[in-house]
Amino acid sequence: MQPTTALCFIADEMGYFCEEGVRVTVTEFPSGKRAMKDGLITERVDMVVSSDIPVVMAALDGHAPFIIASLCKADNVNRVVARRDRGIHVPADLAGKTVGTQRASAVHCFLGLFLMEHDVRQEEANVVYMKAEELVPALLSGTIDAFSMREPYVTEAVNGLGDNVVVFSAPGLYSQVELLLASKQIMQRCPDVGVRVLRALMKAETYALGSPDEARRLVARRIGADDSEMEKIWETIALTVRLDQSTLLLLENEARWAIAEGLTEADRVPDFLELIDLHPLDAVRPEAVSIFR
Amino acid sequence: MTIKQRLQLLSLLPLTLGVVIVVVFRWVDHEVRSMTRVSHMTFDTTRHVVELDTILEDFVADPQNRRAERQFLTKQSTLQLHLAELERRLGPQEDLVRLRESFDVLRGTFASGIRLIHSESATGPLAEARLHLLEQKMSVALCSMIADANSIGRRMASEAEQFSRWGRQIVFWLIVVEALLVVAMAVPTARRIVRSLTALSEGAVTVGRGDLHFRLPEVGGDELTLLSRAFNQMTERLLQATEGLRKVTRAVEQSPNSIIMTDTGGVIEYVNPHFSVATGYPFEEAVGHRPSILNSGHHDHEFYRELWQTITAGETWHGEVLNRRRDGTLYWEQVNIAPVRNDVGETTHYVSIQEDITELKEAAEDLQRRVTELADMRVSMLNMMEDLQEAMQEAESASRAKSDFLANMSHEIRTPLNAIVGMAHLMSRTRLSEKQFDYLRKMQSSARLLMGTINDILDFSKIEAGAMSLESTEFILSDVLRDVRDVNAERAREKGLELLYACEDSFPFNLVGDPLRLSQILNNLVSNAIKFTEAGSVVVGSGLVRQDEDSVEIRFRVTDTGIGMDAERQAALFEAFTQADSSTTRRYGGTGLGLSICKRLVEMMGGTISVESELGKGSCFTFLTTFGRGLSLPALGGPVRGLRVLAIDDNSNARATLRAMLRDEVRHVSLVSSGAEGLSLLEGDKEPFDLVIVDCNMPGMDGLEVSRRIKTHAGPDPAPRVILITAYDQDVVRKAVGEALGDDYLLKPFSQSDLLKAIAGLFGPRSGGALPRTDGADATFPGGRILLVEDNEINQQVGQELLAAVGIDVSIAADGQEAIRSLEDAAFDLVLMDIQMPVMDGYEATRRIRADERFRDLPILAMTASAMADDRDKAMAAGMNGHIAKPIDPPRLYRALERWLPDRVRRETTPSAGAGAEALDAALDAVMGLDVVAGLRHTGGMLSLYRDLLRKFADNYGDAADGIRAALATGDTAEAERLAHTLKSVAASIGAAGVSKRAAHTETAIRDGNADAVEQGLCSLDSLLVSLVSDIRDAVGIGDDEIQPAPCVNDSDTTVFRDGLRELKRLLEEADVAAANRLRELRAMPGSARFAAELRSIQQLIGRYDYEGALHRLVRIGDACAEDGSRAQANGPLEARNE
Repeated sequence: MQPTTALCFIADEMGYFCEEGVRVTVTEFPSGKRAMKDGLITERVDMVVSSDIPVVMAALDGHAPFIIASLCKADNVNRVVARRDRGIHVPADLAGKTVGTQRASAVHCFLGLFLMEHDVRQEEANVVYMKAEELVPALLSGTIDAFSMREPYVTEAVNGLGDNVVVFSAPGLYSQVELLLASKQIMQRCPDVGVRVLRALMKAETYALGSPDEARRLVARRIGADDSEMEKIWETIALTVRLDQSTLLLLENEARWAIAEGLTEADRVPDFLELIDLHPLDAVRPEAVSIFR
Repeated sequence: MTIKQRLQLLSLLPLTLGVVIVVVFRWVDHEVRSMTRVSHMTFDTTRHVVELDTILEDFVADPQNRRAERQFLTKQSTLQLHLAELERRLGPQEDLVRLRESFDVLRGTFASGIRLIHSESATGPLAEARLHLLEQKMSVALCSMIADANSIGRRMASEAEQFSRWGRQIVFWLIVVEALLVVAMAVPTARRIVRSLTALSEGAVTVGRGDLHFRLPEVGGDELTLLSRAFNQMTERLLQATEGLRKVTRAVEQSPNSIIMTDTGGVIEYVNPHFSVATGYPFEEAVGHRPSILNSGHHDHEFYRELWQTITAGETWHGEVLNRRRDGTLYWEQVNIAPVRNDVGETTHYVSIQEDITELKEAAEDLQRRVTELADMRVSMLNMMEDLQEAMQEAESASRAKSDFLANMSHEIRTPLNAIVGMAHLMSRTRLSEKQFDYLRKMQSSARLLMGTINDILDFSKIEAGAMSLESTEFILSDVLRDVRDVNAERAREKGLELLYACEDSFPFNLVGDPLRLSQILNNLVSNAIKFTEAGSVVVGSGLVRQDEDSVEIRFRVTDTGIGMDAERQAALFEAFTQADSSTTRRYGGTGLGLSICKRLVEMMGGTISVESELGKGSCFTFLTTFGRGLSLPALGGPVRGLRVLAIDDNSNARATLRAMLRDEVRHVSLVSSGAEGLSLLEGDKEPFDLVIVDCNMPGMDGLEVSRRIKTHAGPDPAPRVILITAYDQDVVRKAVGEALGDDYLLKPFSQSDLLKAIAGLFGPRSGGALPRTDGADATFPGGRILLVEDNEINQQVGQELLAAVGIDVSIAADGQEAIRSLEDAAFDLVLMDIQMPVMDGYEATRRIRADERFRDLPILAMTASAMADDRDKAMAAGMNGHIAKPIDPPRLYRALERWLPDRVRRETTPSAGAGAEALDAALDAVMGLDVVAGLRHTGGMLSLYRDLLRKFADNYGDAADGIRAALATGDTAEAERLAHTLKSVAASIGAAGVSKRAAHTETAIRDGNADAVEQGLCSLDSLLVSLVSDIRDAVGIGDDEIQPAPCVNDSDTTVFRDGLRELKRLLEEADVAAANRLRELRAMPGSARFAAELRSIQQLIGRYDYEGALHRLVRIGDACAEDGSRAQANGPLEARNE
């Protein structure tokens, strides 16, 4: 449950899906990876909203859902949280420290880029993988010196450690996207479902632009988050329905990273262009498609 | 140019220019847009190139990346299309060509790179170096493309800008031009309007000031000129009106009458100068006073009150008033006071016009006195006139009473007279001694004479009483003339007179008028002429005087060589009860009413009658009458149409008539005026003539000679047939025809139908000529059974033989009841039903037959002599299937049989044997009043049957008129009608059309109860039947049956014949009726042949009980016989008793 899924929530709450003639049942999954694995691939759900990494991992595993659009862009969501008492004050101090993260996830990828950015070689840092919910207790107990994670875990850790904490952010380092995916089956069964869903999401986008405060409060209520916290996050995300060439390149880079990290058995970057279905968005908002055709 | 046109132009001009500006503007806009679009396209090109660059970077980063390769190729083809479009729009331009070259380099290089990457050997530093070089080359090409695209884009943008600026300038100048044009046109127009309006307002002011002679200038031809003209006309009218007013004022001022004008209260506002002269009151004194200053006191208060009431009610008051002058003298005035009203009708003034009538008044009183005296005289004169009127009315009613009395008397006399004639006829059929029979015959003859006289009186009294009316019916003039000839020929022959016809014209159409009255006039004139002529001829002539579309005027002339009369007698000739002189009456008999009746009848026909005569040299009666024009006579079709005819007549009128008659009927007519011309034409003409019509009486070579030459001339072609035309020499011509010197002859006058009938006779079916027969009587019906219901014996025979001839088994029933019985006894295929029959008539019989279920579908055809639609309808209503007109026309009968006989009766098309096969007997042809052709047609061309019928007719119908009289005398009008009807149909079937027609008239008259017409009809039937029956007897040789003539004549025959003559003479001297029988025996004797004609005349004279005339003729035969006798050394006992 992340604010990057905001357009979906607004459309659902405002009844835009109904207006476009689509009856939507929202099912929530704890992570994008699970949503892909337990939802879309097993055909429990027809469409999924997920961040980019799970999509790349699924593509590398040979699954091929259609990418319909990107709904949100954010380049300042991830943080590296470290314990000061372990002598970490600047990012370069991470060398030789134990850093935890969630394997094969956005934060994992962010961590790699962050270390590279600060000239800490992968080998110098001891990266350990944990489940998301295990990271904060591990940091508080001192099992690890730092972790790479996003909200709400960051706030939890800051609250737990008090002054003994240092939080690094890297705006612009890692730009991630929230993607709308659809199973091949639903696209074949109802070819116009993509167009209808996109129209509803675009109405939500218009609403979010026109009434940002109401939209933000609506989303906060929906995910049970505090409005003041949401206010901080709201400024870092751009809610817009698009399909950009940069998204394509992002997916390819992540695939190369995953191969290089040994996170997958695949050795070739998949042709993501084949996984992108341009037509629905091209039909409703051609100017938002900047993928080179 | 008118103001309207200028203003229209003024509004149209900006509109037009506005349209031009819009068009230019739009064009410029379109061009600019198009340039801008190209400029945008170059920017797009730049974008595509940049994107290509981006993709190229991706590709270089990961050459194995198929996505980048695909995107590059896709983008490359997009760019390719883009460039093609640019080239299409811009054409070959330097930078564009460069752009294209760079693109081609890029494409080629990329393709090389791809090949390198996908080749097996693409590893190692050499390959990488090569790839690097390729990448550089592509980068250079891309940079160059961006530069060129930008350069094109900038150029296009600047061109668009320039063009747009140029367009704006054009539009600007167009607007300027438009504005200038509008100003150039508007200013003079406005100036013209302003000037004209100014002149108009000045003019109005001037005229308003009273200068009515002011005129506006009328220059130009626009509306303002019209306005000026209208203003000028208005002023002119105003001037005229003012002039008129001035005249009126002057008239009032100078009027010889006093004129006073007062207000509504009666106070004088104006008097004219004459008032002052007449009354002595000057203007100033009169104004302000009331007219009562003139009051003389002569009229009472009531008089003035009535005056005021009248004028206050808005009416004009007239009256004579005695007024008093200022000097006290009295005078009379004629006063007219009228209210004067304003525009809304309110009275504002009274005007009084007063004339001094004092002198008039005195004169009128004098006149009144004289008038009263005159009136008294008039009353006494009126009384005298009334007395006269009464006297006149008495005289008129006396005259009318005389006429009425006469009419009644004639009627009263005629009724018993009819009875006398009828009874005498009945009595003649009883057993009588010879003496009784003789008395009876004389009585009948006298009665008939008396009847004629009474008819004359009746006609005359009817005319006098104004009760005579004329019929208006269609008829053929030649029929009437032929009737007149038939009626009078015998009497003329008896007196040894020639009865000649000189008819100039014949008409190809019917006349409309009263044919009976016309023949009455002609008969009267002709019989008079015969009566008063002892030797010489009587000529009947007719000629066309005038004709138009609706009417013809015809002149008839009867000329004799008789005793004539002097001028004095002529003058009184047409008066009633007048003859040439009273001695004439004694000598010639007659009532003297005939000519008077003729005159009245001619006048009733709208004509005039006159006489020219000289004592001892004969008379000529001429009358002119007008008839309507009726239907044109129907043309005869068939074989006649194809003929080439030559007509020869010296008279140009006759030629014209012949041409008119033949023009539409035959193929070709040639007309020549002499025999010689005709013969040469016959010789020389390439195509032979079929027929020659030639007049016998021509100067030089006469018609007989022409005919003889034609007939004796031996040529390669058969000689044409010849019809001789004669007015006089009937016997000669007949003889010529008998000797085959001519084929037929016609007596003048003849009608078109006579002529065509004669031609048809020669070329038609009966003639056996070259042309095929067309009567169609060739159906046979062997085994057909027909019931013929017919009461008349002759018709029975006709029907039976006609039907038997086509193989039909005929049964006969004499009336309806018998017919019903016959149907019970035997089966028939068809019934032919007469209508008028004794016991039960045809209608009733048919109704009863139809009532029987068995005879529902039995065909019944009516046979009736009257072809009236009414009769046909009645026949159909009674249940008959069809109708056959009598006399029966065989082809028609056979056609009807074909239609109605059942199929069982087999039909063959072998021609019937007897029909038309026999030649016509020349003797029959000579019978006057008998149309042998028609008669033969009715007997299907069977001459033997025809002769048989004629014989029966002569035996049974010679005294038919007396039979009708007898029936009428016993009051049995139904029987009389039936007899007349039978006579009508029988006469028609033998071809005696004249008798048939008269019988028809008589039948109608009996039905209508018109005693006059009945008598008239019976009279003419009498005379027609006597000569017809006598001629028929001669022609068919009745009496020969009993005593066959010996084949040769010998002395003993002559002796016997002379004995017979002697016996006959004795009988005639004793006026013994046995003379008739004796004569018949005599005519049958072998020695009679020489005297056949004489004997026939004697027989006719005896038939009329003219024993003296008969005796006279007989003496002549006796003379001739005596000569023979002396030669034969026989005794001549006749001579001894001669004288």
